Amino acid sequence: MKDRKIFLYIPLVIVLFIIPFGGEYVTYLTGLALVFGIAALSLNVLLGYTGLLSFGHALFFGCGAYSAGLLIKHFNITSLEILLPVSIAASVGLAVLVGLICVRHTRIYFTMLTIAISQLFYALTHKLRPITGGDDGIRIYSVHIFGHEVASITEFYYYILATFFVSLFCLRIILRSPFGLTLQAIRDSELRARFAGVSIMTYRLAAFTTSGLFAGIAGAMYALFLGQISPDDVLSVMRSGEFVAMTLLGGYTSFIGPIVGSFLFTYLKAIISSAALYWYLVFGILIVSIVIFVPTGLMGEIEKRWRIG
Amino acid sequence: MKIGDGMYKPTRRDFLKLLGVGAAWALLGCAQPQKPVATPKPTPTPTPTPPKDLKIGIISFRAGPAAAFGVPAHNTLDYLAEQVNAAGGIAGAKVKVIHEDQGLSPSDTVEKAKKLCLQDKVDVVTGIPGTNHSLAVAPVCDENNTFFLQCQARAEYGTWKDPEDPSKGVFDWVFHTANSTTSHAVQAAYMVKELFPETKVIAQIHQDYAYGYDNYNYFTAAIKKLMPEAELLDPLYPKIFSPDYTPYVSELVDAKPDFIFTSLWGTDFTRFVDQLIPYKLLKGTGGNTILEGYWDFYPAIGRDIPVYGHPQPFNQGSIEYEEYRNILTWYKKKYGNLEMGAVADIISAFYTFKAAVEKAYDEKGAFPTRDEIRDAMENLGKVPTPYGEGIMRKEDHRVLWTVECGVLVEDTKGYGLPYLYKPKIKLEPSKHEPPAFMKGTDWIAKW
Amino acid sequence: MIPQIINGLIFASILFLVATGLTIIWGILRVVNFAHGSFYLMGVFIAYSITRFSTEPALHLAAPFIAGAIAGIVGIAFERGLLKNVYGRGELFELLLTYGMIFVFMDVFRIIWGSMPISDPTITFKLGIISLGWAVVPLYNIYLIVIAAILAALLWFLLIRTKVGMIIRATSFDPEVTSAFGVNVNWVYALTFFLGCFLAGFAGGLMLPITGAWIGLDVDMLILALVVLVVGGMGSIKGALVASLLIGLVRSFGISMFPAIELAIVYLIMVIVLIVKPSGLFGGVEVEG
Repeated sequence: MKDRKIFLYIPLVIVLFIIPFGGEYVTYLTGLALVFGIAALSLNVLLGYTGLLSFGHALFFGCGAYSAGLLIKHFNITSLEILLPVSIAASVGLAVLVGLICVRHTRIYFTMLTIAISQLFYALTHKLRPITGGDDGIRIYSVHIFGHEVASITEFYYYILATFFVSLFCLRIILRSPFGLTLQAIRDSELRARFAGVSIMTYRLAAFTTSGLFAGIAGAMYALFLGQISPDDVLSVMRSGEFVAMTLLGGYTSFIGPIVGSFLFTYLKAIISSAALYWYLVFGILIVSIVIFVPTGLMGEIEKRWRIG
Repeated sequence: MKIGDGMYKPTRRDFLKLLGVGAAWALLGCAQPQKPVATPKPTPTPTPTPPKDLKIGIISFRAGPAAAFGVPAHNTLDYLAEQVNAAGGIAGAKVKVIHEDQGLSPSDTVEKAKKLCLQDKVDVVTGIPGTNHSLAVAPVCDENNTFFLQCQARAEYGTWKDPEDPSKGVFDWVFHTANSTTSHAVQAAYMVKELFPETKVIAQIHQDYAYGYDNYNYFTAAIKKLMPEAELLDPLYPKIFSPDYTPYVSELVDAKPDFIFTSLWGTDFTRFVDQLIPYKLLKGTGGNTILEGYWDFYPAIGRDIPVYGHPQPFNQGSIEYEEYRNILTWYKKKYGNLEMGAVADIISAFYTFKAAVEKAYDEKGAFPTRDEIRDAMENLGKVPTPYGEGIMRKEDHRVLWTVECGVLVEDTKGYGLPYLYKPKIKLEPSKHEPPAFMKGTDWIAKW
Repeated sequence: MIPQIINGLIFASILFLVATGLTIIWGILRVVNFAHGSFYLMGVFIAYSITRFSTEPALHLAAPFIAGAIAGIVGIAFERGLLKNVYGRGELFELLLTYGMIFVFMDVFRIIWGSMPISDPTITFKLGIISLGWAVVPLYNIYLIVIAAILAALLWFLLIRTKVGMIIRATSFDPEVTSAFGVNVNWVYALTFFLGCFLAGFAGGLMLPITGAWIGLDVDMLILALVVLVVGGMGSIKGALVASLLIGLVRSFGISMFPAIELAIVYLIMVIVLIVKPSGLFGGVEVEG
């Protein structure tokens, strides 16, 4: 069963590899979808596996993006092999700090706290103009990888694809490990887990940190891919909401649900808004219908039927 | 991420594109059989590029707080394209306008610009108010060999490859057709000096992004040169597109300045004035961009403020020109209100492009390639528009204008449009625009 | 100084009205209504449509009440028509449903009222200014603060001194037991939603002459109301009052005293309160962990 499923993904992987033949715009959109996919997957470590809804996840996405951006702006470091590790380190550091505050709480209180802290950093980034460029954001001119300048969208797309697969693989292993299973046990019954001698706070903090780490990776890749970041784009509560929406669309009960959601979101948004239709209306109705009719999301529903069938 | 400039490397995709274009032409040909066939197309020149559509993509705000500045830009471009198409197009090519809504963050705008360049393959990207948005989009268009005609953003360094380092030169494909931030600030400074010489205390309020900070720096530098005895209060920097100016208004009420210089634009500006008017503070004071608001709004100001500052709508021309007046009258009739600044901005970009295509066409005797249009634009010299002529400065790709500024009153000539009232000041480009590759502060320091 | 205090109070009044609506809905239904900012924005737009009819000051003063009532009715329709479907599935889904509605409302407003920002300061101009000691203040601003205070008092009276209030409070305490006493809990939920949305719409109507409206204001207002909600303590009206005053005055004085980080201070207060007292200043709800 498990092996058969993996074979089913092979055509999808092939499609991802040949995407650049579809033109630069498709490549660009797919690149964005992959980056958001990493971010949504990381969010789902909290939402799906730990049962905590973060509405401030853009904080770590933005932390990754701004770590890379600030290194470029102030130190003129443009090498991906330095930027990415620094972004990861910064996101992990921030996630541990914020996690220490947040994981003491659950449910709506956790959600509110994540909004509060992410808004604090949003406001600071906005106001500390000499350092962060304020509302103007940071423009990124060029990216190097081992001394070689990244020359095209297509080339960078493959770096994103590689990052995506590595992240996917790592998250899969982490969530299938005893650690991941313990998280789910805590999610399902905190009391039972506590009786089993599990240190709930430690596990939640670890989940929070893992989640922040991958969101940071996504943020850094996003900044370098787009070439421009600003607080409203990478740190705002609207961006956090989009990650939640992607996860919800694809299905938080499924491992690959968030990725499906990010692709759906990115492509639908591009198609609908360029057709000059009411994108927000469609988006809103989509979320409302998913919540009411298919709460487990697209992949959740498919996997459920699959199992029954 | 820079692809070799100007070097044309045919790729498999280009080949497919050619096939696609060919197929599309064939289909079009089949689909329009009823057309009175006059198609034995004479092909005298060796490389006859058939006149295809010229695509202009405009990114500007269609909703939200800055819609007051963006919507008129969209509407005006549609109108100009319609007019030109009705008259046979630009050098025989029809103009097609593609609209994109501008997002609130520069990165959103970059996404839109990428879509226009990569997906729609437009010839020109224009619009884009907001210096920060404009700076972010410039490299995207340049990478894709697509014109970027900045007209709604102001920075004089908008065409530079690096805003911090003029020695790196300008982007090949980026042009700036409107007045600069320096021009705005310097005009305001001249107005304070010449029209309100008794001014002692000057307050400033700007949005907290590039355009706002630039305005503060340039205006402050200019006032220190022109009126060294005037006292300048600390500037206020509200967040851009923020709803509530009441705390800032109270700061100003407490400070009791003689003159308020502001670079707020769009709805931010009208809201600010809305909230300031009840305090009666504006009696005898003026502000820079006060005329960037709605036309609807002037009557409300008129009762309480006898004096206001340099008029954005007239930056690039005067309504003495009939053709310009016709556009404005049409706009006001159709949409009820009039943001003259946005209309004037789009006119400058559209006519610069039109002039360049026509010049290249005349020189070649056939429809020019995009590279040829680019060369023509660079060497354009005079730019004819409905409101008079601008001058293209080749070094830094900027169009310079002679401006008039002064106190605006309502309709004095029966045009149904606001009109410049005397006393007014007329400034040649050398008086209000910095030389190429120089920022406002550096230039003013040399006065 | 006095204008800064007045402005702080205006901001606080509006925040209080919006956040109280939010907190009542949370208290009774255990739903954080993310679409609450949309009801505020709806109030501004409706008041704008009403004031198109005439420049009569009476109409302009009545507009917020009508706008609030309409927003309240839309609120009932929203609760009965949509939100009801997800009760019992957990607060996550209720939250996400209201989150989705933000976007639906956004485009519906766009379709009805267009994309251009609107405002109508007529009433402020008509009422003119009054002198308070050495400072002049627009009379409308004083009116706004007074009317918000009156509404706060009425609300307190309704909840504490009337039978309806007793039923509402009982439902918030234990819906099952209340329902066992023959109270129609559904009716209480609908009434609560009406009240909450009325307050938001009313606040919006009041702000028409000062800030006007545009698409995007809804989210700004929502976030500020959430700040007040958690700082004051979720479900506590007293908390909403204290937190609104705190946030309103801090913001107003922050602009003159620490203009560089004024925005951040508001959130900093929120984070500090949540760290020190996770249930908010007046929150009685137990928090786990």
